[in-house]
Amino acid sequence: MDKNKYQRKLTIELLYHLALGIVVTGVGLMTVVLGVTLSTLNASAQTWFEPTQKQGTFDFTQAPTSVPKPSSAPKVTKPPQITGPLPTGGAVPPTADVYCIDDEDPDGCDDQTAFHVPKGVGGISGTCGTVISQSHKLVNSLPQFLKGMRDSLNPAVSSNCGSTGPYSSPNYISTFFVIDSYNLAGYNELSKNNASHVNAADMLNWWKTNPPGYKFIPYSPTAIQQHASGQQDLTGCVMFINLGSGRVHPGIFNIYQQVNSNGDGVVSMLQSGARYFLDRFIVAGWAIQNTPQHQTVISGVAGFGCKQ
Amino acid sequence: MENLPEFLKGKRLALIVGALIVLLIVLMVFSTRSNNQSQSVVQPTQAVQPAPDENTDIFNDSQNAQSPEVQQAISEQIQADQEYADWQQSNSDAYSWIRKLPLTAVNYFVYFDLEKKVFIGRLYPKTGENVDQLKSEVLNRLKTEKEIPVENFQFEWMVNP
Repeated sequence: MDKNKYQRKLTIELLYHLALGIVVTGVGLMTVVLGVTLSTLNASAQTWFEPTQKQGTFDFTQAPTSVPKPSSAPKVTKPPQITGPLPTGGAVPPTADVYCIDDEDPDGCDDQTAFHVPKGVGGISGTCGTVISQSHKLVNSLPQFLKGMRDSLNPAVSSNCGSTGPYSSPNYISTFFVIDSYNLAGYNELSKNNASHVNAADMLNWWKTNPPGYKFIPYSPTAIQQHASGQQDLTGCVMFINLGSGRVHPGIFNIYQQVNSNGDGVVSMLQSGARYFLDRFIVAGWAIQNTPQHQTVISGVAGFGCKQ
Repeated sequence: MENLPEFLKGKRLALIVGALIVLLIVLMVFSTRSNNQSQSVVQPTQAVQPAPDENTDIFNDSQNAQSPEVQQAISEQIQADQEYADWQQSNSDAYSWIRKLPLTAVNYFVYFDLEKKVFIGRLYPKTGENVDQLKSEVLNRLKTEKEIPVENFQFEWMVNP
């Protein structure tokens, strides 16, 4: 009887120690799980309670429902920048802050006489960066061969706002370049699934209706002059080229290189669906040349589609 | 400790162990939920969204099943782009040096007018500067630096005070 009682006591003590072991193991397991969980949270998640750049610069200052309308006399945001004679040089890497434009094709640059066109900066900016910076990323994914159409995209281009997906030739049309530049920057009003945006003539009409948050600036020498003086930054705006057939070809306004105070210089735009990903237009006395009255194929710059 | 065996007799031990296991499960469930909630909190700040699949076009999720209207619009825009590209090519074919222009300096700006097919020289001579000498410099640079057969073209000079 005593032996049985002793054995039962041993069994109970064994069970007690087993239970204690389970509890200790469980607590240890919980600690490990919590530790791993916390370590996998990235920096943004760990500081979610702190104001982000987006909140600080966009959410509280530019509510979509109350887009500020441009005043009749907008203040100057930057002083006029007269660069003087246009810079030239040789080949540059894709990461350089200029494009090297060869005599006949933008990818050659086999001597020191090719024009160096600065990559536009600033301008229209969304939650995922400026429109022009997304255009520069897209240009790097266009075909880089010496001659040929720039109408495919590989690899795909991404931002924190999404990804374009790759495109084979000839499917990466000029309007897709424009739409992707805006979508990647964080503006989703334009869509590649909307026929009215895919056809550039319809996209131009859409812009001319001045939809909320957007505005159309008809072409005039004054528009270039106001851009140069900082009254109306065109960087990242869509530059619409009217073709003689009634069709339209768009690109993204890159930069105006002003050579002198008389309004002479060169306007450049980035594009797909063309032989050159960067086209330049002569500006003489603030007027874009070789377009409206001076061409049969190109009937003129229609204007600039911008974001307010 | 002496009374422990008596204390743990019967169903008490099973109850305590069971309660501890249940408590452990509850704590683990709570931990999992907290983790999910923290992820949902950061999702709206797009900066911490997981990197999108680069091969997925989220701006055009029906890329392979476009509507007939979109397909028609794409077809039309391909034609428009081709028209523009042909214009680029024809300029390059007719004037292989066109992309070497404009010719710029502090006191002149020279370009080629594609419609008139003449060179436009906008001169800004300094006080006392000889205009003919300036024109000569322009012609020389176009020939030597840009390798343009200037003798085949006319020039329109615009002298600005």
